Amino acid sequence: MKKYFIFTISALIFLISYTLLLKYVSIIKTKPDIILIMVIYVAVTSDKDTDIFIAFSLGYLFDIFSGSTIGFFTMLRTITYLMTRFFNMKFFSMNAYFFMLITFAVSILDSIYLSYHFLGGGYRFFGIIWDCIYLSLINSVTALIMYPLLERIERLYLKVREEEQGRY
Amino acid sequence: MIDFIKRHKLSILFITLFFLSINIYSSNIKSKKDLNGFQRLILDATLPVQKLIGNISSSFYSAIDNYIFLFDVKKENVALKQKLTKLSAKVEELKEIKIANERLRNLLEFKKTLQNEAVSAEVVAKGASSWLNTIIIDKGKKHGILPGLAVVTEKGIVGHTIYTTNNFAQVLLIIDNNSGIDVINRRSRAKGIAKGLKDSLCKIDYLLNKEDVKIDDTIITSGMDGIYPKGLLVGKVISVTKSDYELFQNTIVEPFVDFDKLEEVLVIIKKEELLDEMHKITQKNK
Repeated sequence: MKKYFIFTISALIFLISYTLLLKYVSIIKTKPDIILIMVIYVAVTSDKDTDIFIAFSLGYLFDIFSGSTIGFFTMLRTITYLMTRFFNMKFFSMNAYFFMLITFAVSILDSIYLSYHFLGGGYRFFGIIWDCIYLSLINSVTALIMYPLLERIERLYLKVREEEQGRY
Repeated sequence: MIDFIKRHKLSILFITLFFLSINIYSSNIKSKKDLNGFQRLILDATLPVQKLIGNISSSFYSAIDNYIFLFDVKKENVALKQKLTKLSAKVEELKEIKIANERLRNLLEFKKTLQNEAVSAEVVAKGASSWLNTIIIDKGKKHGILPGLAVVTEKGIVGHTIYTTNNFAQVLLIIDNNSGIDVINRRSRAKGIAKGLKDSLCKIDYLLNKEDVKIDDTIITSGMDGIYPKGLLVGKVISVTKSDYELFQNTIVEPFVDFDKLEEVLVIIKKEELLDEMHKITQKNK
């Protein structure tokens, strides 16, 4: 439950700062998906199955802040969590570069689905693929930047948990 | 049974949450509902913080702009330089006020030309997703803003409101793929549906091949979609492609509004809808 609150509140803070930053920095055309990165991190470092609730809530928050139909990203991020756990079970080795790589892989699948959902079929196939690769690269670079921050959030949770266990 | 649940905990949780989100999504997509109380609470609680941080960071940036070039001043000139700094800061401030004043005057003059009532609002933040082009403005239900209202500037249309809270509203920009506006060519009166495209452009769908459309033609709203009043500027045609084998021509429009530099907007209020909403609230209170 503690992990759930820590990650949800952190995501809220990230979203507030991020949408504010976007208003001032008009050169950011391709926006990295910080919630996707957080969901991937939660899935990779997950020690309990109930962590899927974090992904669900993060998607719900993203729905509210992005203006999409409520429930769409909630559903998608729940699937992203499961998909990342599947990847993670196959090739687990947790470090910043692995996190970057897994973000790239998940982002590619995610953006291909999203491009067909939002853009429809009226675009050229290679144009869409190139956009997806570009967005996934941006996401993986952002993941590398966010990794120390997320690690710190994770450590905060572990510290709270250890303190609690020590008390009993 | 308990063993089974423990063994398949993740799958059970996933299936439950998946169907829950599908349920939320399908109920929202069908009725296009506004935000519920909890969702409004999240936005209403967080956006004032965002607005405050925005104001602080604006002052911080303007302070940096004014002082950053004065690091290497000699000691004997400190007093003079300070005076200069204050004056240049004042000049910068006045310049900014002048620009804002001009912008607001243009907006006010444009507001007078509108037949409907309009509420001015400030852009607070941009949407977080790469796939959706949205902005958040600092006026909401309290100011008479409901979902489905046109948002404009003196240059042209910006988009329409999709979700509203008491103090804020989310606006779907016309450059978003999900946005559709009934438009006409001002010169030839050719009709079509403008939809968002990549790179802040729009395309016009269902514009017949036989219609006369030329580069630099002005596209305006037709007033047929029930959101945008007739005659508002949308953009100018920058490319027209016709093919003998296709029924419709491919027309690209560049909107007049620069979406990267949006600061103030006007929301056009529909009086009938506002009266309906007020009637609903009165009924609810009874």
